[in-house]
Amino acid sequence: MSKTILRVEDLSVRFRTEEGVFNAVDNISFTLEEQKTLAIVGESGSGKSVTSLAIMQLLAENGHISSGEIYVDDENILNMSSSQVQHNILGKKISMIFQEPMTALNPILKIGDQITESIIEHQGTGKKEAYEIALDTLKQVGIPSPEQRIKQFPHELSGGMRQRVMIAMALVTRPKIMIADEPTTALDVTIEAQILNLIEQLKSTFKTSILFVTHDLNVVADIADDVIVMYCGQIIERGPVVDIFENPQHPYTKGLLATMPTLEDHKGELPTIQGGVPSITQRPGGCYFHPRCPHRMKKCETQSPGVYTVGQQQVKCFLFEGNKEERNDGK
Amino acid sequence: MANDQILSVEHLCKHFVLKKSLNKEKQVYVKAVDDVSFTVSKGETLGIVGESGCGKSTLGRSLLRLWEPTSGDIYFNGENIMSYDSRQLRELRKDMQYIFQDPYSSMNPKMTIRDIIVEPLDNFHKEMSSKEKEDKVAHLLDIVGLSPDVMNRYPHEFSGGQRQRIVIARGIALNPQLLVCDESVSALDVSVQAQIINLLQKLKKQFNLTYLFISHDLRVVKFISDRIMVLYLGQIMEIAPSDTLFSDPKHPYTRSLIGSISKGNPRNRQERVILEGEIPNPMNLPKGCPFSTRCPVATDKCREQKPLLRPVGENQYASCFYA
Repeated sequence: MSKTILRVEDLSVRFRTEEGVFNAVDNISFTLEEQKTLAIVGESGSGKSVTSLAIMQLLAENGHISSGEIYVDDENILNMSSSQVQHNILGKKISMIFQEPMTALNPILKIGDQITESIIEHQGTGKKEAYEIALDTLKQVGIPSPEQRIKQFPHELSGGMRQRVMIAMALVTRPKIMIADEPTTALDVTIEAQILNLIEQLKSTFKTSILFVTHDLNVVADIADDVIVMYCGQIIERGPVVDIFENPQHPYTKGLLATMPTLEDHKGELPTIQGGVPSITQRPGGCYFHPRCPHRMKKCETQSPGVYTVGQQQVKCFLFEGNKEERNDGK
Repeated sequence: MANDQILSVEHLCKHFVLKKSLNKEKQVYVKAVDDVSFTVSKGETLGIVGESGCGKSTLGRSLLRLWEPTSGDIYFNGENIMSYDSRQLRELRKDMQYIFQDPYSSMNPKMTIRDIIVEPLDNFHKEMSSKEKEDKVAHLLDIVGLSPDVMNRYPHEFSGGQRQRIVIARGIALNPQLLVCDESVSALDVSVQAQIINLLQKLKKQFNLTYLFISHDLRVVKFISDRIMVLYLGQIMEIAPSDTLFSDPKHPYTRSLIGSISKGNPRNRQERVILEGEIPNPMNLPKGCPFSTRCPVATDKCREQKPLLRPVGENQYASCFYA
C-alpha cells in the first residue's frame, strides 16, 4: 500500500451569483497516493478546475468551500489559519501550474525575479543562493541557455518555454504534490509531447505526486495511474486508468470515450452524447446526467444515485444498484 | 479531372510588412503564407493542419481575399478571382463562406438569432419578402438541429455547441459551394464536438459542399478529411490522401507531428516522438528548408537549399530532399 498524500473528503464548493447560490463542486471525495498521477477529467462546468482551486485556496471571491475536509499529509488544511496555510502548505507542499502561463506569470518581472521570490520566501535563502537554485531548476526543466533566459521577461518566451518556467517555479520548493490544471491545452501537439515528457521525468526525479486536471482523454491515457471522471460538480466514475479506458461503466464515461475520433480507419458518423452540459444554474433534478443518458430510468429523474462498486471502479449510477454500495450521496 | 476542380491555388503568398522602409531591402516581412500551390476537387474535404503560426488561418483568409494576398493566383471554378473588382468579390461571397473559430466573438451580441442569420439574405436576396426570409431562417435552423423557436433569442443564451450551429446556419444561408471551416470544433467540449462534426458531414452530403477544414487537431482532421495538407512556417511540407498521410508519412515533419499524438491507449504508452526545439521566428527564417532547424535528418544541403514540393507517392507530395 502506498501512502496517501492528499485526501479530500466530502468537499463542496459554492458560488454566489446574481441568480442564486450554486454548488460548483458537490460532495466529492478522493485520495492521491504518493508518487502517483491522478487525473481529473471532465468537460466545461464539471468542477474539475474549481476542485483544484479549492485545494489551493484560490477560489474567486464569490466562491467558498461550504463543507468538507482537505488533508495534506494527514493534516486538515481547512482547520489551519490562513497564514499557516500560506507558509507551510501552498508553494511548499503543494504547487500548481496553470493552463495559460502568460496570465499566471507576472508580465513586468523578469523570469529570474519571479522564481527567486518564492525560493527566498520558502527556503529563507539569500539572493545569491536563490539565483543559483533558480538557474539550476531552469536547466532541469530543459530551458536552453538559462543564463540568458533568467534575465528575460515572460513575453520574450514562447508558450512552451513559459510553461517550462511555470513548472520550474512550481518545483523550486520541492513540493510533494503538483496540481497541473490543463498544462498542455494551450500548446501545440509537438510542444505538448515535450511538456508531458518533462512532467513524467520530473515526477520520478523528485518523487512528486501529480493531480492532473484535463478535458483531454488522450492525455489521461498517457499519464494517469488513476482517473476521476467529473460531471456537473460530481464524481460519476473513478478507477485505474486501464479499467476506465477498457471497461468504462458509467454511460457518460462510455459516451465520452466513444465520441473521440480515433486514428483508426473509419468514416461516417461519430457516436455522440445527445444535448450539452447543462449550465450550473440549470442542472436537472435526480441524476445530473439523466436528460442525456441513453439508459435513463424513471427514478433517475428524481433521485441522485449512490456510488456502487464494479470491479476496481466506483460508479455513481443506478444501473449498478445491485452491486455493493460504497456510499450514498443521494439527496 | 480538371473540370472537377473547384479551387486551384498557384504560388499564393501573403507577406505582412512589419517594418516599413522606402528601401525595399530594409523592410522586414513575415512570410505567413509563402508560395503555396494546390487544388481542391468538388465535394472534397481538404484538411489543413499545422502548429500555431504555420499560416493555416492566414491561408484560409487569403483564399477568400478576406485578407488581400501579396501575390499568386486563385482560380475558383476556373476564374481567377485575383482579378475581381470589389463588386465581383461581393458576389463571390455567395459561393465561398468562412466559418470562424470562435462562435463567441463571431456573432454580434446585440442581434437576435433571426437578425444574425437573415443578414446574408438581406444582403444578397433583396427580392425575398420578409415572410420568405423568416421561413428560410426557420428552415436553416431546422437543418442545423435547432428549433425555430430560438429566433428571437440572443447569442449569449446559447451554449458553445448551439452557437456553432447558428454560425453554420448563417454560413450555409446563401447555398455556398465552398466553406472554409477555421477550427470550427476546437472550442467545443468533446461530447459536443462529435455532434458538430456529424452535422458538417451531413451538410456536406446534403448540399454537395466542398470544405477546407483548418485545424490543429490531427484526429479530427483525419476523421473528416479526404486529403490533408501539412503546413510549416507558411509552406506546404506534405499533401496526401488522409489515410496515406497517417499510414505512410514521407516528410520528417509530418512524421514527428503524427508521432507526437497520443495513442489514447493506457496499456500501450508508446514513447511519443519528441520533436526537439520550437518553431523558428518567422521573421528570421532558415535559408534552406524551413524545418531544417528541428529536422532529425537534416543535412547541409537542407540548410542551404529550399526543397520544392514533389511527388513522392500516389497523390502524395512532399517538400523534402530525402522523402
